[in-house]
Amino acid sequence: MTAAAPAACAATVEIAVGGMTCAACAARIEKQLNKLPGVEAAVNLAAERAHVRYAPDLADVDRILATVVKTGFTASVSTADTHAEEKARKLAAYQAEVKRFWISIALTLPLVGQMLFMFASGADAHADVLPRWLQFALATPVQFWIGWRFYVGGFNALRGGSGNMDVLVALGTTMAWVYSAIVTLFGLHQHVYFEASATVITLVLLGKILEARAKARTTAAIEALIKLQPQTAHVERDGQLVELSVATLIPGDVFVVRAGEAVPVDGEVVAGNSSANESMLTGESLPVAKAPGDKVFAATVNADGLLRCRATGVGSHTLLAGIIRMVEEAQASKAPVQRLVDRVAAIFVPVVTAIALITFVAWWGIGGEFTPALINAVAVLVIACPCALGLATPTAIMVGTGQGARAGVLIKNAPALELAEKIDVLVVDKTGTLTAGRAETTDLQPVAGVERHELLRLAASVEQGSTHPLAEAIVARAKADGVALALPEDVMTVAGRGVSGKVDGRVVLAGSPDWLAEQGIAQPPIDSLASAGRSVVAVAVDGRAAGLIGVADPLRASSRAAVQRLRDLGVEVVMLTGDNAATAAAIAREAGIERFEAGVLPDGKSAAVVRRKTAGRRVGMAGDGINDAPALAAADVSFAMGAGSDVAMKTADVTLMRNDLNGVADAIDLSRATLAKIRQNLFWAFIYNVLGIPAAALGLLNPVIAGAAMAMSSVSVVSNSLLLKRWRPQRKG
Amino acid sequence: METIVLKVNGMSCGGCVKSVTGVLEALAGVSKADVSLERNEAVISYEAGKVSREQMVQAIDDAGFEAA
Repeated sequence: MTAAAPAACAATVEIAVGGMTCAACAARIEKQLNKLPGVEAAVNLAAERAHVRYAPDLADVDRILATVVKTGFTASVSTADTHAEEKARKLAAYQAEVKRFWISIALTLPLVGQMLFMFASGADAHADVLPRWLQFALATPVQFWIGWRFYVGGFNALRGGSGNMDVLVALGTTMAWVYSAIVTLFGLHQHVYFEASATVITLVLLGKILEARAKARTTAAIEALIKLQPQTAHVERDGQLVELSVATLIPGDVFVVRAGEAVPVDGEVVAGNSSANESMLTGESLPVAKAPGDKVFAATVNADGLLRCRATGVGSHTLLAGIIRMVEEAQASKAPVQRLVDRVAAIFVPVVTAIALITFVAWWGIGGEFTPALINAVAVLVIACPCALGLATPTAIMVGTGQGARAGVLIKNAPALELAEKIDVLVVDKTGTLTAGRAETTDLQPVAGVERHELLRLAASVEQGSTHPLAEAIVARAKADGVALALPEDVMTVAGRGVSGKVDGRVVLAGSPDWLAEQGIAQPPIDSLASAGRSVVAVAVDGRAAGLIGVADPLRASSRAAVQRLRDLGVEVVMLTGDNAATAAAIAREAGIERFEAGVLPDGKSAAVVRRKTAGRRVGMAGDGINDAPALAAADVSFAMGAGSDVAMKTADVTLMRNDLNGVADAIDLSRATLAKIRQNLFWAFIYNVLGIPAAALGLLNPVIAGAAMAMSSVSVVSNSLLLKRWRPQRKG
Repeated sequence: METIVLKVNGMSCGGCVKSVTGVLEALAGVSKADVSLERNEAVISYEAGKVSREQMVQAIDDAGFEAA
């Protein structure tokens, strides 16, 4: 039950709501807000926002905020600036992290320097170069201030029931530091391992920063979508046309869209004839005719006629707003995938702890002395912490993304590189991804007695001045075929129907077959073209039919081979399109795709992705249009064509610069190579430390061995990652 | 310090419990509110003169739940 619709100008306000944990909370807030007179609210759980429209004479922002607070949540007005604020906050957090890293380097360097000196001077490392209290002073801030994040991360992970890299790092470094601190404070005659704890923290932090740089910004996609929304509309008020802010429109308002302008809100055409470019919302590659009774959508572009429309959906009820909401929810609901490194650490921690315990028990039980038992058990934990662990993944991914970029596969979201090899189904958008997204002339069917190139010449000549994509396709074909065009006279364009003009003294009409039929010109049958999914342009000369021209959006040359390659990789290819079924079937057949769905709306595409994800499959999605954004955001790994819309590229994990679906196969191949590299790196990161465990257990550990393990593992991991530079994309002959 | 037990209907998750606890403890005179999801009730400790049963019921109603 909603409140009465606001009669006068409506105001809107976006509220940032804090504290919502489930759909019931969001529903409750909505209910309480809608109870207020003159207020209509929609609450988005994932975005933590409420979109409220209200009549200023019946309600005000303060009362709205108070209602949300009384429901038990926090509320504040969210303006467009909030997005910018969030961005700024994240950037500041990242920069703070980088600053901490440099401080960590500064504090660790002297300790490392001492370690190198010890290598050089020989195995007897009893005499430290730096006084111990200085080492203590350097290592302590690194351990607890800079290393604090590992304690927090490790605690959260353990609370969630499993170990991860943070746990391993916290455990190992804390043991090293505590042990060394006790030795220092009590002046005991043992080795200290401050450089071990400090170096591990510094290097793992480096790895985290490298990873943070490679992660995509989720807000970029939303920002790009919001930019599409026009800010003003030409609205009729009291018989006058006024320019108003789009936010003040309510359903029922009459607005006007001029030629070339973007439609401000969803509506129904009241008067006028034109066509609209809806490719961004529905994927329909050719303009859609608009006549009284037809629907128009916000952000689509009106072609060359004037349209007078009545608003049907405004604010958060437009198709565009729906797409934005879907992208937000998809991004918010994607759980971070557990990284390989964390899984390995989760196993390693209990194993190493067990070995330490065994060492302790063995020494105490057999040797009888408590102190050596404790020392050796601690030594096991110290040597077991691999400092190159944090570098294993980021170095491989950095080299991998570099190689990908060289091959035209631009990876913007590094974790995608780990997931890509697991894709078992690829959902592909038809228009602009499988096809070129451009109208091309594919058929020339002159009637008996007319020459092919004469048909083309006449049609192209009269269509020269038109910006309609069908006209442009015909003119392009004429130029490509080397047909010389004549200048037309008395050219008249009937919006949405066709053009007429005089070429070489003859009256030429080129337009939709229905239009020509209305003028009494008999048409040759269009069935063969229509069933092949072509758009038909009928041409008549001096009142008699001259022929038909078929225009279509043909398959990209590379698509068929790409589909085959993907099938060989074990990936099922499914085609989705907003286009009509006939065109879809034809393209699917040509591309070698077995499963496809036609007439799909934006929410249908993301539903198709989610359906398969719920069924347990790893879903990849390839698209190029704004209408693909929700599906791209929902997929496990998303690919955007480089020639596609800005929004698609910003939403997707990978951009295919060569506009070639082969890029997806390349990405999967690269993913496999990179994951293999990461696994090798993990081996190299652990192996030296693992070899050191027996030494530690037997009481033979000293800083030289610990330092050697650290150095060799780091060098091995980095050089191994550099070997990934040998990867090249496979190309079928 | 007095104690009162109010029935609260309509809670479905931990967030709801938090909301009810929050709005009750925000009332002047209420020192503690223990809200249970399983038993659908709130056990409230309050100072008799400072806050009334009606106010507590109203706060729960305003939050979108049913109090009895």
